[in-house]
Amino acid sequence: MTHDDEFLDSIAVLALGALPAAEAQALRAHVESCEECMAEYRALRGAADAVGYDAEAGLAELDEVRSARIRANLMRTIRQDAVPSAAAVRPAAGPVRAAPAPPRRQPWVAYLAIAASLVVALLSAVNNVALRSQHGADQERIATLQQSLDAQAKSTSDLRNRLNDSDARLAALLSPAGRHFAIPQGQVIESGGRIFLALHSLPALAPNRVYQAWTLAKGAKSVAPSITFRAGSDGTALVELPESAGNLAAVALSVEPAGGSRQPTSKPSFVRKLS
Amino acid sequence: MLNEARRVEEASLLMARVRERDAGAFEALYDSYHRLVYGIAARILRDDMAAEDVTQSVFLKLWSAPDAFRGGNFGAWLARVSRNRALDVLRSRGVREEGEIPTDLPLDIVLDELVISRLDGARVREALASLPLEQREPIELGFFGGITHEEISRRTATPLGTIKTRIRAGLRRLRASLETGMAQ
Repeated sequence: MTHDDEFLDSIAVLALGALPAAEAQALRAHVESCEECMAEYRALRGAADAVGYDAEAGLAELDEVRSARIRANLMRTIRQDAVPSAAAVRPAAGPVRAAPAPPRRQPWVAYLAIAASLVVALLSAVNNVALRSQHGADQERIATLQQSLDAQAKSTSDLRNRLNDSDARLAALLSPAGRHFAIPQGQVIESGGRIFLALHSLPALAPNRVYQAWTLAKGAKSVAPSITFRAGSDGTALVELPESAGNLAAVALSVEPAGGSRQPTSKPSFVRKLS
Repeated sequence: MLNEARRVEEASLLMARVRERDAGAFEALYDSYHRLVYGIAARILRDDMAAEDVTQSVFLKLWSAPDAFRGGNFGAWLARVSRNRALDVLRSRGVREEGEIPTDLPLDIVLDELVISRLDGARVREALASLPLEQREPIELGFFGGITHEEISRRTATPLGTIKTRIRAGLRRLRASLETGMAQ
């Protein structure tokens, strides 16, 4: 079956994941049974999935504390279910052998021999347990050290990535090609496809309030919510918005409840056209 | 910048170890991909704490149901899982007034890996930036805005048919651009 372009356009919207539920279900049923549509879907779905990577590139920063907190919570949970490390699984020690029975002797000699054997066995067992315990502790120390080394390697790698990202941000901020738009509290800076807010004299907010940026896309009729943030103790803030600068017509800032709002709930501190 | 090709290869190996309940492999996956997951959630939800919850939830799902990943490009798959989880959170809030949150219905297939076998944020950002605004805008709104093509049409004051055509043309162009990048 050959489909017209309009139908194949719908396959693209399905691949992007922007169809309403009912329409998506109907189209999915068809795609699964139609070779042509499946080929179109496969071709476009890969590209649609790739779009998500733009968020990683646009992520201004994921602070170390937050990242470490998520990691710690996750690892605490999953370690309960994880396969124990090799250090924790050690074979049981073999049985302690009793000394061979002596040939026929006097009873007291036999009792003495048995008692001596028991003492030797007991000492051996105690010694064995101590050695196993020491061995286990050593293994755990080695595992801990290895984890520490791994963590340091990861930390170094993360730091390198953050420095690279910081360098890119700094280069964009200082680029002579950047455009600076003055606002009463500082500047909106557009550079290298990025958009920054460099702000000062921001009033301190109550703990349940945050600053929230808003963006107006070109051709849009209403603003969309952007990043939330708090000012430093000196009333300054330097933030990068996650949106691509080329797509924006204006930027605004307002004070909102912690967690941000879908629409501004207070009078904006500023609204700045990017032109 | 991380070597994404290496990341992709390693991810499949790490997922195999996660299936065997290897906590170290899971931790390595977290280190490589948590920025992707958090970035998508933060961009969709505009809420740091909610994005943190989504990140935790996605990685816990990875641990509890590793067979959900059936091979292919791990990062692209994880990106879609993250988007869907963030959209679930939007739905649960029940505050969307302007229209229905779209439903993602991935088909039961392993996707064509050609276009997505080598990905990184910078390359995708560059490829997206190379699209005409009229194509890039509906794609970004569709993926990150959590809105249907009908809402995209309303917001941009563009006929629905035109939006659909632009999404298709944009995705085709994006794919071509990413493939070109691979060849370089």
